[in-house]
Amino acid sequence: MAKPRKTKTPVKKRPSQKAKITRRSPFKRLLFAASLIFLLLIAAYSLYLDYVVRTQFEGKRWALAAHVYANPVEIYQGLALSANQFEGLLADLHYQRSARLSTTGTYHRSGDVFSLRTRPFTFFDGHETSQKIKITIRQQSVSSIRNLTTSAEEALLRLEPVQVGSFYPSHKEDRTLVKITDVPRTLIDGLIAIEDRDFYQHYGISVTSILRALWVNIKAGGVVQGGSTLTQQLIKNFYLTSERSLWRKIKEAMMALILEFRYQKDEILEAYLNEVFLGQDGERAIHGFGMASVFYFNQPLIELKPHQVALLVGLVKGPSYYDPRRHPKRALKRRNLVLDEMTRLGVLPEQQREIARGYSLDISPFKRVSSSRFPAFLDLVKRQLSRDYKDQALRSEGLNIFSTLDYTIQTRAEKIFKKTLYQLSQQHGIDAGKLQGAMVITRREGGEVVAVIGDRVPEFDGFNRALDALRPIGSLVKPAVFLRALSQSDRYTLTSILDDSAVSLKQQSGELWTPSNYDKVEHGAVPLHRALAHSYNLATVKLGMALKVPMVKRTLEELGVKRTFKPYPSLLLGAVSLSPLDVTQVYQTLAGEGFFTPLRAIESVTSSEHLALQRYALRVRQVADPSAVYLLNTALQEVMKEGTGRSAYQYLPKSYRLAGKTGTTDELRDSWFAGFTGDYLAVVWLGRDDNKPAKLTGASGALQVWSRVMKAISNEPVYLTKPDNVEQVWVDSFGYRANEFCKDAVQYPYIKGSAPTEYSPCVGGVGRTLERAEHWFNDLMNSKQ
Amino acid sequence: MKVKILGLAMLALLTACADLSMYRQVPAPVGDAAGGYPVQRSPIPLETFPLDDAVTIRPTDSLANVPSPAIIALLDDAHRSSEQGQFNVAAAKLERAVRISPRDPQIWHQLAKIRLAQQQYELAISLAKKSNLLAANNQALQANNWLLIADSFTHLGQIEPANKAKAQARRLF
Repeated sequence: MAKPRKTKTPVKKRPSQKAKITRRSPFKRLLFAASLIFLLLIAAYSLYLDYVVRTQFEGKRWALAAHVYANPVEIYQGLALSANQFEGLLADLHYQRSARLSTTGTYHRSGDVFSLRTRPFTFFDGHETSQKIKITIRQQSVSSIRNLTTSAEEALLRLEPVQVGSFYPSHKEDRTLVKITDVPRTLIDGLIAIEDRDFYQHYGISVTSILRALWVNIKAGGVVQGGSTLTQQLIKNFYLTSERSLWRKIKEAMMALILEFRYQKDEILEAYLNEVFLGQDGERAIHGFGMASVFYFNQPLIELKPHQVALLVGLVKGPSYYDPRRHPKRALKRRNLVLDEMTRLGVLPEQQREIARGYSLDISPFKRVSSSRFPAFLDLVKRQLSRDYKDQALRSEGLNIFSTLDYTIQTRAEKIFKKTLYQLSQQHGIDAGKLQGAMVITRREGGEVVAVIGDRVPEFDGFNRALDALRPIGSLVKPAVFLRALSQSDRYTLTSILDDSAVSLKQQSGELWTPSNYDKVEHGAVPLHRALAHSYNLATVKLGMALKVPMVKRTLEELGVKRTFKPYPSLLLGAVSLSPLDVTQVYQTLAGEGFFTPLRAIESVTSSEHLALQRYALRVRQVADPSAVYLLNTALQEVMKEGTGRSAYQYLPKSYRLAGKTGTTDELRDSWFAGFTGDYLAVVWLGRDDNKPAKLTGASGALQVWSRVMKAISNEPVYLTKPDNVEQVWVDSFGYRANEFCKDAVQYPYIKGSAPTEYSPCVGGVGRTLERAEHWFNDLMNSKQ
Repeated sequence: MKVKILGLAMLALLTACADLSMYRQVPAPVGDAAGGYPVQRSPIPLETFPLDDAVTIRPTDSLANVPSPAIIALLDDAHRSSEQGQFNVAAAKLERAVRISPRDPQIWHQLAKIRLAQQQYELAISLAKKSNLLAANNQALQANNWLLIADSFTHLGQIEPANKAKAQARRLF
């Protein structure tokens, strides 16, 4: 019985319950629904916030500036380097003296022996770890590189490169990302001690902090202390605007909770360390401790000492208020306060605090790190990059751009360039500030651009004459004419006789063109090599006309000229306007012995994570017969030995066997020099922007700059490789075949089969027979090979 | 035929390894214009230059011709990278070597080999030619370069230049 009753009871109750509910509604029901909807909304909003937090935190967090690096210095046995030069190099890399080599980037010198602890760096082709190294320099060259850890001799040591420029994001935030493992412990301890003591305990918001701040603020009668945790500060900077409202506070708290729920403390801390604003440099905003360390101390973060760390921690509260450069006293007081607080909270031993307090501010001298220290070179880098990268990517992806710039050469060349231009202006009475110029220096092999100067004040970021000043090249064109001739060995040799006499040509316009020599003298019959060495115009024009001007034009194009120009006869004397960089490309082919090598300012590009992105590889293409180029280059050596370029030997030893060519245009408007040593090729242009006469010839102007710079940077005499089909033959002063016993006889290189066959009277019957026998013997040997 | 070329290549490789004699090329004498055109000037004291040929025959100067440890280290590294198929890394290392020793034909030859492996045949040919120019005194390396050029031309389907290059290599062995 009981069972049915029991079952019946609920049945009975149902209507009553129903009645009850219906009695409760509609208000409570509405409330219930509303709270349900509210909860749902909160949940949905939380989900939305979660999405926002996650996408940004896990995606690309920051637009990162691209950094351009100079070519790293490689130290190896036998490298020509004096102890002082090496110390200068370490100074460029901001190495600090330290006897104990306590951190990376420190060194110790005793006489010509250096001990150093290098910095790690990741290049395109691999990672260089930090090493303790002992370098011994003997007689101006590196004699030993010993690894102090393994005691082994190292074959090669590559130091980290000097950063020479950056391409910033449009909002001009600059930061160097650091990993939490690369942050000194004192910095983390100090930051937590000062900004958020409970960081490792709270869940994003800290009630104790808020209460503490409230209490302090009530006592002070205003807002003195914020109760925000590091997490909240990060949220505020990262996701929200600076607007102050309750709603924003709530949103911030919610997001802080989400962030803490989703991520590890160290991940949050790392993001904070990279996000926080720490200073302003003109338009550039310094974000994150990594960049701040470089900005204030010129050192990587990991190398900072406690007093430097404390300064940075103190800056978080107000980077402009405590700016150590503008308000040194305030900054020092703040730093010491941070040090005291750190000791009070037990994260800095008393003894260390005392040492740290003993230091002055110790910041590096204020240098406005302009976006580029070498604007002309950076301009070239940017133009080459713009072929492969969009501007946006260049400014936001944090690319590492490894350029071919040689920091030492660029800085030395700039100094000499500036000084020489000043002296030339004085000597030649050129209006002050009117003499302009440009210079390009490349490695002789490989076509790497190591230095570019685009203004008389090289650091001025304006019109880049090295790339954009198009000026007639004058006699610099002559090697192309002579190369065309020497490529036809059946018609021309170095000792072919040319006619240097008056010539007048009808131009397309119908006007007569009557060129003349620089000295206004006709030299009559001259050998080809001398016509080039002394830059005779008339002989060159006659030669060029015989070769046909369009053919000379083609040679110029084969050598590397890409601009369009017309094959008028005046081309033969350089009526073609090129930039110094264009000229460099042409002479690169001559220095490369007939191999065209595209000039490069960039070697490789890696991503912000050091992944290899792009290589700009060494390329060559044979465009001219190496034998003809060999003959031409020996004539270009004659230019320097006894022709228009001879004053270079006031600066460089004769053993350098320099090769080059001067160029001067009408009324001394342009002064050019292009030439090479064994290791470098350089082109110099001097002139005025208003195209008025600059009062300088190629020799009295550009060559002076060239010689002084080469004296400072070059270590190698010119070696020319004699191709197999070139032979040295003795000739007399009339171009007849002679031998070494003949008076005035000289050896010239000839492409085999082109040497003169008629003998000079100085060679007797016996000599002739001997010579023939030698030839017969040589031929026999050759055919056996 | 292929086996024969491979054999030749192996031989060339061995000889190239044994002979690293192209360091420090002898400078060519500068053409000197002493006399007078068209009018004869008073005689100038005779200047003589070492005969180039005499110098090239001279046995190699052992000290000057040994590549530096730095170059050997870079060549080794490059070799390792290319074995792992990292040709761009290998090329980067070789270019570092070029920077240290720009006129070492062995390095240019190795660069050519990398490009051949990357099927950049035209560039491989140019690099091998450059190596050949610098290897004036090293027949083994020259032969090696010609073989590489022949190989590249074959891949490009240019049979005649390939055969010519092979003939050049044969002439040098």
